[in-house]
Amino acid sequence: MGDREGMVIPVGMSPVQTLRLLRSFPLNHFEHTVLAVSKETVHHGSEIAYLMGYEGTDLRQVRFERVEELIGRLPSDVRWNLMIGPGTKHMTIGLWAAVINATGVPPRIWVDHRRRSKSGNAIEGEFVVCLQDQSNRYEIARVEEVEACATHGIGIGELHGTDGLTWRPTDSKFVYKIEVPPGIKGMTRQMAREWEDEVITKVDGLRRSLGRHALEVAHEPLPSSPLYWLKVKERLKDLGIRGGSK
Amino acid sequence: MTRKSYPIRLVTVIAPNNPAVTLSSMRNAISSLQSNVKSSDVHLPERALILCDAETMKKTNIDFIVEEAKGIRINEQTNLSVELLEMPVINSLLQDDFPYLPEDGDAILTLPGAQIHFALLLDRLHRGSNDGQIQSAFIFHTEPDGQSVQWKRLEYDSEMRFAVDSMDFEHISYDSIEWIMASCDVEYTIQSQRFPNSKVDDFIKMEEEARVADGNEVTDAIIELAGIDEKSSKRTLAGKALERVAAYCINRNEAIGSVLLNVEFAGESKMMNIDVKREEDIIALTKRGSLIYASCKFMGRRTNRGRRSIFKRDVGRMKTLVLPLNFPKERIHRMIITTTPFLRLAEGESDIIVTNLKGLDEALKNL
Repeated sequence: MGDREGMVIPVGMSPVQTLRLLRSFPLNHFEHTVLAVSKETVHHGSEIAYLMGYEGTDLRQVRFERVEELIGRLPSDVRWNLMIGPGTKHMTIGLWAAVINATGVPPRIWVDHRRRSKSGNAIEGEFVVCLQDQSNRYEIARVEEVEACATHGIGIGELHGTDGLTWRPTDSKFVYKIEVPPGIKGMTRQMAREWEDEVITKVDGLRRSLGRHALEVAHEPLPSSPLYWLKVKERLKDLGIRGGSK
Repeated sequence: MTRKSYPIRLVTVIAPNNPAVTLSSMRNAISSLQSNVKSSDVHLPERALILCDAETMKKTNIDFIVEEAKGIRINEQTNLSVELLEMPVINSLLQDDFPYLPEDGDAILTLPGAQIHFALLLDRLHRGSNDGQIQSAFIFHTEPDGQSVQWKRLEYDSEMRFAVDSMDFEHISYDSIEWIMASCDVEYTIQSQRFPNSKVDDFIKMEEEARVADGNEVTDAIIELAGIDEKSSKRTLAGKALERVAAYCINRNEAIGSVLLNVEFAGESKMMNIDVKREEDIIALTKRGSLIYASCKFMGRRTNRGRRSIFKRDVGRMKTLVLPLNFPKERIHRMIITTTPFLRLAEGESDIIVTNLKGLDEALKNL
């Protein structure tokens, strides 16, 4: 490996995923790396390129619609690989077609994979794996808090200044734990509803700025009575916000 | 796709609790070819392979999906023939044997499986094409907004290199509201009540033009129009009447495919051994594949402080409303149908549509 290999990797709305996948490969693994961005992820791509540095690989950022043109200009003996996971399926399909049309050969496909225990913890780590030859795999690299914030275009102060929001480097996720205010049991139905709306607005904002896949959200236990708290819990669950009752 | 080969078999992966996307993806694939390619040029795929893992089988009504898929018409004589194949759960996807054996003319549907499923299917296709078993293969993708679909065809070109050509089609939705509702425990009424159009239009005009002092007249008129004869407060009756009239008005709009009323979702929680349920007034599916959650608020004529506060709270609730339905969020639109004086309280709201009955047709036009 190392000679005349190229990798096309999309940058989606959870860009830290792209960074950690790229970091997992040994230096010089790919002679050419193409960061395929959409108009929504251009700025994320620039941050990733900056954090990766340019040493050891020809790293280029390009709109995903123009990848075919770019690959067509690069040496024709490069063997191309495609990372499937980050970005939308629309991007994935476009990149797959772009590599084939530029080279006449389907790309080798890589994915990231981890086995999870029932409690959600990773078993045997998380790997980036080449599907054509599964012995060709690398353990996924950690991304530290400061880099995660830079990739997402937020300051570290913003992370630390948001109550309940932390970075978990083991699986590269932001974790937002919704804190239940003191005296919650005494809240009226209307107050409960207002609290719920505030929570939802906050989570919506975080999901927009950090990406859905890079953020895990849970709430502290909610009261199980009066009845309206059960409805609040159901509605939060519909939004992918889980947590217990007490 | 007016030359060369055509798809022979559809290949899809089921996601948990998502029968609607699985079924509509298959129907969209067939229908897009039926409606966009001259029938003399194309033969349609008559077979489908559905891959499903044991975890998904536990959480999903697979029999329903298979039976509904078998009901998809290819032509007047033929329905889709369906094969179900169990695949490893996500945890074991790379360790255990992935059972998909590609065939020439396979068309991979990108929805609703996960990216890793799509990657594995593509990898198998590549291997099949390298071995010479596969001369052509296809990818079919429905965009998340539901407004267009895309076919990609992988084939050898004249220089015996692989090439991908593509065709994008404007999308006419082949979703079904029953398929969407099949993903959860829900009870509903299908909108079927009819009202005389002239009387509905007279009421809409009257409601829009009524003054503050005409409040009782408007309330009585909508109760009478809806034909509600129950013992309850006028406000409650007017609320129910608005739901029924609004559902009728939505249903008569040409953009609408189907309308459900009083949709009651079962929750997991119980209170005193009674299930906690949540109800939404109206859910409608447009012919272009958008799903509308509509809440009806009969607020009368007076916009006093108390009513303003109630209305604003409802606007806030609708903005963040998420229902336990598996449906692309890009295609969900939230709507409040209310009385005319309250429209101005929601001016500038961009996340939801707030309308009176008069503005309903305009609001539905582009959905």
